[in-house]
Amino acid sequence: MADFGQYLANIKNSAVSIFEGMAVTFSWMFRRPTTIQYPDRSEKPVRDMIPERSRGVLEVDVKTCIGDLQCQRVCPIGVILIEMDKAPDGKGRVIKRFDIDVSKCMYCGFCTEVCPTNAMRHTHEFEGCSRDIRNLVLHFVDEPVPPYKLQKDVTPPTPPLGEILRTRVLRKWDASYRAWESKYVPPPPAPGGGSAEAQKGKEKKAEAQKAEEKKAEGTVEAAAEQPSRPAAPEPLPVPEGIRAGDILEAVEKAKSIPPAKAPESPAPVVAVPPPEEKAAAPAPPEPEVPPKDHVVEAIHEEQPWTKQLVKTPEPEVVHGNVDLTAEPLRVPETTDRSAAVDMEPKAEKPSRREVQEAVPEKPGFVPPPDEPDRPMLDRVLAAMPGVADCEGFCGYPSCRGYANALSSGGEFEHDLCDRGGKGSADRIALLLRKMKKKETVKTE
Amino acid sequence: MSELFTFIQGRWDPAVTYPQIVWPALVVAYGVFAVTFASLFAGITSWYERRVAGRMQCRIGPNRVGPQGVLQWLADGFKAFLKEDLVPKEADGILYRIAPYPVFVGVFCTWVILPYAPAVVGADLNVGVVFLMAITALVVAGIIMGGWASNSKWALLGGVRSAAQMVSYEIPVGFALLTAVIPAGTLSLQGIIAAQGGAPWNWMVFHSPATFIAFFVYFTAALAEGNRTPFDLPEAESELVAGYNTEYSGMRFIWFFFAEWANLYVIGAVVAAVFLGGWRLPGVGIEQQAASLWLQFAGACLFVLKALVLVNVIIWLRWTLPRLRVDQLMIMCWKYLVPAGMVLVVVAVFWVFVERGMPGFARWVAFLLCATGFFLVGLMFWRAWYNIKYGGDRLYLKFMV
Amino acid sequence: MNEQTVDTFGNEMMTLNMGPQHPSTHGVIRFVVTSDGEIMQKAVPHVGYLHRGIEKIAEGIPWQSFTPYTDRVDYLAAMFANHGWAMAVERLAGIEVPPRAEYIRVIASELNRIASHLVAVGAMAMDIGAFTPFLHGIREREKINDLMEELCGQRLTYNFVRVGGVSSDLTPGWDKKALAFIEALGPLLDEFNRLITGNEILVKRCADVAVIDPRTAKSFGLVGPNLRASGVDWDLRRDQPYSVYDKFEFRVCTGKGWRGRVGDSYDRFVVRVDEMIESVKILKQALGGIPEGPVMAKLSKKLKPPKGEVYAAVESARGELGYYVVSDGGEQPYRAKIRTGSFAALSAIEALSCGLMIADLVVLIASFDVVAPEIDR
Repeated sequence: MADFGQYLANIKNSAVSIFEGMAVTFSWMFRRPTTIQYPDRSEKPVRDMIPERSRGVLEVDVKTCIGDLQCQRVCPIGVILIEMDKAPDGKGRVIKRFDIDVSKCMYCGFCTEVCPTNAMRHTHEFEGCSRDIRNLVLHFVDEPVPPYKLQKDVTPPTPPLGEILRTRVLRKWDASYRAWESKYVPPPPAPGGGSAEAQKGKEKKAEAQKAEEKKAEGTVEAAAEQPSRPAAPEPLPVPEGIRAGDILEAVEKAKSIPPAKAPESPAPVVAVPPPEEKAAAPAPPEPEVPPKDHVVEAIHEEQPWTKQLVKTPEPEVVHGNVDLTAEPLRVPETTDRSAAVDMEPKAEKPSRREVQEAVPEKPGFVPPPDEPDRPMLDRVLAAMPGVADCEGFCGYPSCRGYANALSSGGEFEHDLCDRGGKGSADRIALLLRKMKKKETVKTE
Repeated sequence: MSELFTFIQGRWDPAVTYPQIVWPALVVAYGVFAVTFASLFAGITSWYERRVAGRMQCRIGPNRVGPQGVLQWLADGFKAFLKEDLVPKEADGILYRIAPYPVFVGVFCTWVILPYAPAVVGADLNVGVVFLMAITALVVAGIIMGGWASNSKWALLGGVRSAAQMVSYEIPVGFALLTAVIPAGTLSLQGIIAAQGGAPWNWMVFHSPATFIAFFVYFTAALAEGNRTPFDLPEAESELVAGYNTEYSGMRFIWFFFAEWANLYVIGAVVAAVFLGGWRLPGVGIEQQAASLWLQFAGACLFVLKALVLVNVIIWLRWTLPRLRVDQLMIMCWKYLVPAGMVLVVVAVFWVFVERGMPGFARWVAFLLCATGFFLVGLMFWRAWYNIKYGGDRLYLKFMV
Repeated sequence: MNEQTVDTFGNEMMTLNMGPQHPSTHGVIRFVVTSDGEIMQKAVPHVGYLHRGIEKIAEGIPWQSFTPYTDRVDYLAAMFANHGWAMAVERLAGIEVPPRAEYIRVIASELNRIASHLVAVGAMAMDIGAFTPFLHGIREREKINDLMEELCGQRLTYNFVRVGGVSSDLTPGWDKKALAFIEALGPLLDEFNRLITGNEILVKRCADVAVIDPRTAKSFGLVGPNLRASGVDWDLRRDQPYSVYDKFEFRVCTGKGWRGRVGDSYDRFVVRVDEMIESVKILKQALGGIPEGPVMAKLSKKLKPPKGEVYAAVESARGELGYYVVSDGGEQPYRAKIRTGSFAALSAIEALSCGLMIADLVVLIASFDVVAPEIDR
């Protein structure tokens, strides 16, 4: 009889517990799901939902790197590779290479903790997928940079988190970012619409706003650019407030812009005419993005090593410069194209095919001779005209990014460069065919 | 189907057109309808189940392909269709290739006897219930073939489990159906529906205590026959990788699952027909319903609705319960369901006399059982509400996420 | 136990390879199962698929730099591995840890224990066939992961407990968030119990399956919840108090044989559920009594502990996680040995598997809560 009681108890237990369990699952039919729809249907971009301390992909701001190699030493797995070199003028040293192998990084955070200037940082970027693992070696130095000098009571400037990284990571595969970009980043002003002046003003305003927000301390650069300030059309409300990103760009630009005295520099809207030094280089005069600030010249004057660099007739150097002055993805095209190239700006974006047919190659572009002993990345880069005003059909933020992807095998389409046209495509194809025969890929 | 013909035969000479044109055409048309309906149902259920499961698990579920993801099943099916039709090297090629078809056929043939309305039924067989049990046994053959021919130990274990399980659970299924057949006095599904009424207290499930319990017995056993959780041992994912279909891929794999999802509807439809009044509308007589095309249509809709509610319950159970062990499965069958079924048949026979001797008492019991049923449904809603409150949550009735 | 055999009625035995790619082996573990149909004669675990040589790595890098590697010892409960290593080095070098750091360590560890147990019980339910409880567990664990990310910067590999303290202080408002979470966890655990713990099918699947009596449990070196489920009242937090655990009131949960015999799989399940409730108690006390002060001791950059050896163990979510460390006075450890609970648990499976069904093996593995990287290291 006890067994029969157990028998009935089993039935009762089963029925009751199953009923209770079903009530729980049923109740969840009428409760809010806890998941969010990554990547494109969440209320905010996921990047902005991440807590402050979150450790994402590493980035380094080489402008504030003091070059003490602490991060390289503390890294348990050797993710970071820094090479220091003697400065061309013989005084001091320069950072020749700063590579971070993101594919090896285990995000422990040791390197960021030892950095005295906060140049090495964990961003909130986490979408690092790439077709080729070699693309994940991020090169943060294009041109040798002098190390930052630590001073007392001066906080090194910090660009917005992730800005440097985003220009380095190949955005081509980052579909989610593009979805966000179209949704959240304000659309760029129409290229032909507002006058360059208006655009300039807008930028200034944004800059000033940012500066106020950040309440940045006076920086070395800021101090240096003070004398050149009167030359600017309108003085900034907060003179010491320089957007760190601008400084970056400015320094990059400084390398390709002739070393002219600040008062002599033309109005910022007009493209800089090619000076003698430039003409000596095999690369043709190129339309430059007008300097947003006269910081450019100021910094340039301060650092004579850049002068030397520009003088040396290295085509690769020029290309490296140009591709960096090209704005990162979201920044609108500000160049007045008609000043440099005789072409009317089109109202709509033409297709790649159209562009290639209309402009088979950038006029006046003479590709530099191929140097087989150079790294493949530079050779591919040299095969492209590397203009700043290209339509960006390749989908990469910079020519260097595209060249990197091509030379490392991450990109298979060799004819994406619209300004290079057929000539570039053929040259690149030739190079890549050679590369296949002889594995001379050097990504590091 | 002869009733339907009475609508149309006035136009033609029945002696000539009826056997030679209309009949074959209708058979083909119904066949096409049944297979299309079954396939569509299976496909959409596969999406629907994932959405429901998602919500039960605090997720959202597939909602990208088409509006709210309704076309997900097409995308999945298309992908499977394009995949290579792999046959393992050591497998028995012929058996391996034909194994999905008995499964498919076994499930889809039940559409022949599913009654939608007084006149809309493939064939009102006078042995309908027996046909149902016989034709679903084909599924076992297919699964054993698949499990054996794959030449994989996991698949073999799954196939053998399936054989033991399905053959065993035929018996409680038979007993439970018999409990409903005894008061109805017929094996035909249409006859069983006709013996019930439209109002809930006239349904077979509330007819007597025996049929009330038989409803649960049948539902449980049918789940086991259809390899649904908590009885999905043949394809137990965490134990046997994927059971009998471990080695299958591409379209053949999809056949198995089409059959499984179509079987959901079969279970729901048979329960709705045998226990829940089928196509009977409340307050409408059979003759009245048979005479009106619109009432027939309404009855068909009601029938499908009842079946779909049951499909929901099956899905709900699947995402709630763990799986039994193989010996517990057998214990459940032979120590609980089969004895219960035997007792139920005896009680059902006894109840025939009760009904005749004390019709008032029988009617009172039917009302009581009906009240119990609705109480259980209400209790479920109350418990769900309690869970929401207890968890500190709020009611969220947005289903289109 | 090994001598026991299954009567096969003169049939042949079947050898089944379960894993390394099998849905319920919890990582890359392989079991070679000898069975007669459904009934197993034995299941022999084969390990080594995830061996990364972490102990050898320790010999080649500085003392403090080993912490991120300990994250990889047990990815479900990395905080304990961090804590154990930090404790070992601190004992070797005689470092005094600030009290606030100790409290933060306890808070982070107990949160991590809840997260790990949620996965353990959820995964066990999933192996038994119920998918929903797993995701309900994951739902709560995600909230813990969010808290951890805010505190440590990472969701799983924290690298938070460092030699000499913790890497960073609590962020402002973090303790309130954590308190709100643990307040809400109680009702949700009750709901979880209604959903699965009380479920009769689960009870039948787990009760009286793979019973381990206290003697056997000790002889196999089982630790943590697996040991306590067998009725052995042993918890390092109470019996060898480390950090500031001696300041908190909590109950050590042991198996009571709720629905079967003491030490069966169901006890191991319930002990984990109970421990979560106890962790909530500890968390409430710790968050209420956290002192002010620094979170990191003053250390020289190049740590050189004196010559010697030390064994430091913490009560991890998977039991005693011990570090045996030898120093030769240099900048790097001379030898580091990690003692983990999963390895001991796995060794018990072969002896326990005789006579079980294949479905029970899945329950057994899940009830031990083995984590593959912890087995191999």
